[in-house]
Amino acid sequence: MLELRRVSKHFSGIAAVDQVSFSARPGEVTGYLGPNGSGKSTTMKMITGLIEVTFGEILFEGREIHEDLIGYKRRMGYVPEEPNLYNHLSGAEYLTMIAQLRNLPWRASAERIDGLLRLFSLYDDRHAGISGYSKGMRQKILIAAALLHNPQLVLLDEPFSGLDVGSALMLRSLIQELAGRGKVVLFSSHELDTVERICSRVVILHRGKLVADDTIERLRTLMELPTLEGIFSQLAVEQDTDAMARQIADLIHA
Amino acid sequence: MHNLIRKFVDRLPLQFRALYHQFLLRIVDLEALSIEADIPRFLGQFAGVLMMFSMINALGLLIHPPIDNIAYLVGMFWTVEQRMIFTMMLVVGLFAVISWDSIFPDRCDVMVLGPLPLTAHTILIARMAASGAVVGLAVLALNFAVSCALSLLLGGFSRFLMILAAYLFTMIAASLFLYGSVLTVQGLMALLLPRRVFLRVSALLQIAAYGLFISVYFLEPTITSPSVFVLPVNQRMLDWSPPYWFFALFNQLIGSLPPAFRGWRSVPGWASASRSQALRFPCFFAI
Repeated sequence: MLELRRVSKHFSGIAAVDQVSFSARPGEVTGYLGPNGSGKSTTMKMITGLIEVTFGEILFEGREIHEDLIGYKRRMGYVPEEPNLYNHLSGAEYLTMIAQLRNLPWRASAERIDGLLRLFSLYDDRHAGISGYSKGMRQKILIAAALLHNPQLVLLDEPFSGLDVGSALMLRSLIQELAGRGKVVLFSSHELDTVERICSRVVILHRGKLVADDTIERLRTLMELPTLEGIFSQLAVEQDTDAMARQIADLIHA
Repeated sequence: MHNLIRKFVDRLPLQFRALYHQFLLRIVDLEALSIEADIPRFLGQFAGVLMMFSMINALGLLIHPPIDNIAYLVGMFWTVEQRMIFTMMLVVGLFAVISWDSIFPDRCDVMVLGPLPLTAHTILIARMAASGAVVGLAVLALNFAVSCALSLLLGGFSRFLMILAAYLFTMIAASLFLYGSVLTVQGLMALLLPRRVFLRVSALLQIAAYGLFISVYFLEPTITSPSVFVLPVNQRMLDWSPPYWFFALFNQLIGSLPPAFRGWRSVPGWASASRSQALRFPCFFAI
């Protein structure tokens, strides 16, 4: 289980994440939602160990992650929000490098890389430079790299970014399949429809603070709203979006 | 020999080998050279040019009519020694310029390597090994022929190895001094200045370093006689000119240092740059 206890992150004294506590359990897909700038990606980076927490602690399977950060990273797979890859490598070379840096056995990892490239429809382009890949192809490489070592904890930060419809449907099923196999899956996204379909529970963040942490069913019942979109709008959207849309249209017409 | 190297390489940790390979591929700032990603070919061409330069200088030393004039011989040897030190420092300086933006981990490195189970010291050592490999390649390629020719002519067969060792030591020291100095300036700025200011100043500094290395190479005079060395008018230039520190170091090591020249300056100068680099590099990785 992944557990955050009163985690805060301050930048120049300003709290980007403020005393956030929640847990993600094995076998469940936990949705992590929030408007832009609410602190989702900052939390993700703290969970991956990329940045340190200012206060609080993050535990995985009962142990503070910084006690054995290397051991923790061996069991974690992370798909970042931005597709940062080594552009001078081909897709196959990049995955081979990741396998080597994760100390995976050569033969097994070569078979796994081949399999992943085929299943992600990248096999024909495996020797082409990543610099020539489309956004969706780069995203697939990131997902393959995150899953290559069969991690126990899967962190997905906007994993559907740039994917075509077929790939997105496949990824949706894959996320559920991974959770079904007992992995801890934390999934951050703006796509509320997808979150509603695949997540067992959601955590909603607003201005760095936790505003909801429950199953979608219970939130629907508690807030007497039929959809996750309605719940999210009520908890995390301050403006009247229809009025704002009208103002923008009026402005460009003037 | 090849098998021995292969066995040694195979014994190194896989993570280190993979990182070293990556850093070696990215040792040159690709945008600065517009050579896309063909680094192995670039390094091969780079080594080829240096080897040709080394062979031309070696042939120049070996093929000449018999000379009885000692002063002329000293002048010839000193000219070659100084030219090789100037060239070595120019090559390492230019390498520091073209690898300017690939020396320290960038945002992409952080995002790619950060979530992986890698220790900071594995990344640091791999990065240093990749830089060291290219500097080592430059030292060997530029000096392989001329070092042998010079050692043979200066010491004969009896002192060949001693002079060769002194020559290579001097060249390695000169390379480390210059590369270390560039890294120190760049690293200190990265630590002290805000990121945005650093990026602006860094580009200017890169151009300034390029201009400095080229100017020094072409404007630095060659001193070919001991009598010119001891002229008071030259002392200030000699005191402030790192290539002459290493010229003095070499002559000190082989026992032919002109008495008036204070060659000891080379040792503290080199040690100072190495020490500050050694302190700064881990600091950068630590933050």
